[in-house]
Amino acid sequence: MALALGLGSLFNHSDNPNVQFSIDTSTESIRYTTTRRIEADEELCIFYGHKLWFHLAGQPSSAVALREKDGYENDDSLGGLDILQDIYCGSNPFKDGDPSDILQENELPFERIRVIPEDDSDDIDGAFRTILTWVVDVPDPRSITDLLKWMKSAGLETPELQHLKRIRRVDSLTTILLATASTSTPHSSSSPAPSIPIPANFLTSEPYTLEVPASAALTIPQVKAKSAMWPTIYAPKRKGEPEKWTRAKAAWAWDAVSTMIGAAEEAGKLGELPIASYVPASFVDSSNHGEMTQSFVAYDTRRTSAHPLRHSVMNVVRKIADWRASSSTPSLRSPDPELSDPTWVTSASSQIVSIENTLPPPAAQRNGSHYLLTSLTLFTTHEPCVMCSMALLHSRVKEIIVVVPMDKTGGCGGSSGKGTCVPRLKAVNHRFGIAGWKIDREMDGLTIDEDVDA
Amino acid sequence: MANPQHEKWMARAISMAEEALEANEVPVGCVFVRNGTIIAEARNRTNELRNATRHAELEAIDSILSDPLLTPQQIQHPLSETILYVTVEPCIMCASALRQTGIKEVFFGCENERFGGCGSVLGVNQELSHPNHPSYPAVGGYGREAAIMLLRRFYMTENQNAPVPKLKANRVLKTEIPKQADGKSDS
Ligand SMILES: [Zn+2]
Ligand SMILES: [Zn+2]
Repeated sequence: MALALGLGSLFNHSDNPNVQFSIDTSTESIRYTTTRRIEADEELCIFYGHKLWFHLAGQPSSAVALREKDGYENDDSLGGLDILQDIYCGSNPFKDGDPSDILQENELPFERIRVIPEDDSDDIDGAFRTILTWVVDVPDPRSITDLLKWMKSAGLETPELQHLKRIRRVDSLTTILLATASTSTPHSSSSPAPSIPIPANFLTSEPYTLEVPASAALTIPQVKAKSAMWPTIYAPKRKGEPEKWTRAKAAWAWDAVSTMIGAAEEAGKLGELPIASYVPASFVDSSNHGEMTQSFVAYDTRRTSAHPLRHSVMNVVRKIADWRASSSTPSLRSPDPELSDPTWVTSASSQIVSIENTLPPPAAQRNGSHYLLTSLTLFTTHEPCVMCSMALLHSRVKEIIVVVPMDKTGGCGGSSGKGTCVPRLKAVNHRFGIAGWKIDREMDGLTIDEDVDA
Repeated sequence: MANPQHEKWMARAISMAEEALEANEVPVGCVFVRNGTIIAEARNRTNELRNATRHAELEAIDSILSDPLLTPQQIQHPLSETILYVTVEPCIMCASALRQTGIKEVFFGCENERFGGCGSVLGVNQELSHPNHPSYPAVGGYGREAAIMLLRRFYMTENQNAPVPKLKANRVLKTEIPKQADGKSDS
């Protein structure tokens, strides 16, 4: 039973600390890092937490410092909830044995649900989805370059057609893809979107509509089939093999779940719904360098904040954003694509950007900043509702690990994996992994009504 | 059932989207209307707040719920008498947020084919069943071309000041509200 003794006890408490700490359970150590430039003779201080609580009998013995104010209206100078977890976790079954062992799938403390996009039905019988676009024929090849330049300046290089080549040549006729024309939603008429008026100095046909493939070709036969309709980019899937987990990483996950359940139970005692989400500092070993050195936990605050949308996922995303925005530390390492993308995302689809809101401006991209939860694992006590599932998709979380499925309200597939599943939708531009924690202990403290949106 | 008010509210939403564009944000803007008055207006702030979830709709909902004059007491569906005008179809996240807060009705400009939560990608507003939250109608086509043009201007990364091509005026603002239930069943 230990609370940051040793070096940790040298630091005094400050409400505006200049040192933060994170627990690395794999080395049983606490990492201290400065949060801002330290002037000469300035005292180093950490945030002790307003309150300590302890697990009750039957729970792993651990202690966590919870900040009292969990709502995000509060000024939060540290930007995140620091976890001071007991470095003694006697009941963690993954602490015994060689930490570098690769665990078999059935030895893992969770069950992975593969998020196969609806899109993959493309593969099965050679049929594929199409979209309606505007195209023009260009009889004079000399005007092609100018026309492409004009399209660029007119903002027609939109991402939704990235999987297609812009030019098709059949015999001597060149055709250029201008823009998408599909508006096939339940609300709108089936008439195409407005056409693009071509400046009169280009000698082209009148724009006309044409069906083209809706997504890139994943296989060689698909290249042939799709390109017969319109030249289509070949973007083979990387092997859909699940990531290997070592015993040490399973131990990391076990501790994360313990911490999170503790936070949820604490929230329940405070009169909130006992729902919590936790983004621990990245697991670090020889092949993972750790994208995130800080841990963030948040629980549901819809009751005390009188705000029905203060779900734990939204709260934890907000905390990470605030920390990223306020942190002067170079926390925004540019992501290693191998680590940050789930293996089943095709290289083409990961470049697709949205028409709404998740796209940083070009300047931010050039600065190397990236999405909030890229490469991170989020643990959550209850399957996130549709709002929270999409929030996680917008934030590009790598994977989530869920303890309690919510069949009536969840957005990540439910207990069967066949319910509403936001990252499985064919249109979305990111997929994240979903795993269900194998329940191994009393969960009475996590009971909520099945109609609740977690 | 033509309603000249739609044009007025949507024009306000578009001006919020323009403000977003000027701030280098994806240009989406919205207004919330209750009893014929705007009670909140907001625009996308995802870049400013480094938070991909800070969409216009959620910004506005936060301001409504934090104002004791607008939300005097905690009730399950605080927006049950409130209408939303937004330049782009709400995404799945916002569509769910709107349903959880009990929004009465949504009017939007253009469809959101990648993330749309009011039918384009997922019918969170009606199709999806939910044990607690009533469904709500969402109708597109109000100020659609202006909304699309703003998005095109945002994605015109090479030359921010290049002239914007004018769309053919072959579509006028819809003032007729299509029957939602009919439109749904055929998709
Ligand atoms: Zn939620
Ligand atoms: Zn949204």
